[in-house]
Amino acid sequence: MAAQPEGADATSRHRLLGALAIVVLAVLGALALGGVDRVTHERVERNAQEWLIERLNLLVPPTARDNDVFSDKAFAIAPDLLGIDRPIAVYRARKAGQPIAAILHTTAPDGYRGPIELLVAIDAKGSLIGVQVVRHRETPGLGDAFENRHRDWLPKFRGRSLDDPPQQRWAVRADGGDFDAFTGATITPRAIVKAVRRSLEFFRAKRETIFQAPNNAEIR
Amino acid sequence: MSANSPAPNYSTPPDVLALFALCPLLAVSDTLANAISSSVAMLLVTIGSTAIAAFLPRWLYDETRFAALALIVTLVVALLSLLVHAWLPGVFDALGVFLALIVSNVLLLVQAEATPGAPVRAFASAARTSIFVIAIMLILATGRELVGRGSLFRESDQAFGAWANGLHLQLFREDMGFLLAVLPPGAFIALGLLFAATKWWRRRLQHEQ
Repeated sequence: MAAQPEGADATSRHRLLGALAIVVLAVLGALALGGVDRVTHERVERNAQEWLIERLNLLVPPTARDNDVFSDKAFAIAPDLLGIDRPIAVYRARKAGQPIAAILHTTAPDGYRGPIELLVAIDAKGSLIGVQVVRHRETPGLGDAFENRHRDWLPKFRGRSLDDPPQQRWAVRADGGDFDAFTGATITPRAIVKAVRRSLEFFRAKRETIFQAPNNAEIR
Repeated sequence: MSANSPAPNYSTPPDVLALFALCPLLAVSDTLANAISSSVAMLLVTIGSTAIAAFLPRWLYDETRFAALALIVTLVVALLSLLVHAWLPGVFDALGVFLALIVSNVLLLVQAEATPGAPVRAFASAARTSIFVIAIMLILATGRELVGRGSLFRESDQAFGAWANGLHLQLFREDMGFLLAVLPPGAFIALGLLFAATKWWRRRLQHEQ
């Protein structure tokens, strides 16, 4: 194989062999990746699920409900109310058959660095229990740990509803609303306030359907 | 045999090479836990890639060899990130895009060290540079975490398991920390200070002689 390329013929044959080596390498690599992906895929899914359940439990603790909130879910498809085209998971917490809370797994599409996934928990009367950031694309070290650095910002939503503050003041202060933005950033707070307000509006409009819809049904 | 693939004569001195190899990783030297996990990841990728690259046929042209090396390093990093995503989700989240960025520094190392036909030498040389990089990462992380967050080994349970919570040392309150040290520019400033310190130290040794 260790041919000394002499003349154009040998050179082109050599190039062909090189290309072939790359192709073989790529095929072997693809097979290896596919194999490892098969092994890890399930576990990655399970991790994400456990993580979500943990967050749901933080918002509505198991003592406050008697159903399995993770599997008691429906899907909201309401682009006009929520501003998102794709279906959104709505988890329902109940106790003795009575609705306790709904948790919307929604998205604030207009965050500073792309969409921010949120969990918005609303109690049966339409007041906020809490808001949690699930995932946001941010560079580690650069404006990261939004939840840590602005630890006191998200809890301010607790107890708020569409009447408190009045609907037209559901905005950050820079836009004439009631919510503080944090220093050096208005875009992310603005996006989150808007997404939370939309979730509340959706809840008010569809409250009955949210709790009556069968499992995995669509709410339109 | 060597006519078409002469031993590459890269004259880049090893510490300059290590400096280049360091840059993509610098940003995750913000805590000791991140520095250790990214360094270990880099070491694993270097070892894995050099081992696979040793099987490359010797007659590959330099261009083809580089493409092959790029493919190998990317493959090893992709495999590693799948495994980390599955079994160390905390580390996966903490390192984020920087896990994939390991490709660039390892490719730099492996490319410069890959002497066709001398796998052992390539291996030793790549290992030496990686260890140099890891040492710098650890020094930077210690300084940055201490100054920026007032702690050592915070959140290291994500990477090493619950026992690592015992390592966590909080010297002063986190929000009293110097934020710049934690942000990426802080990494470069810390690196500059480190260089200044080593230079000063060398000069002092020279004076004493």
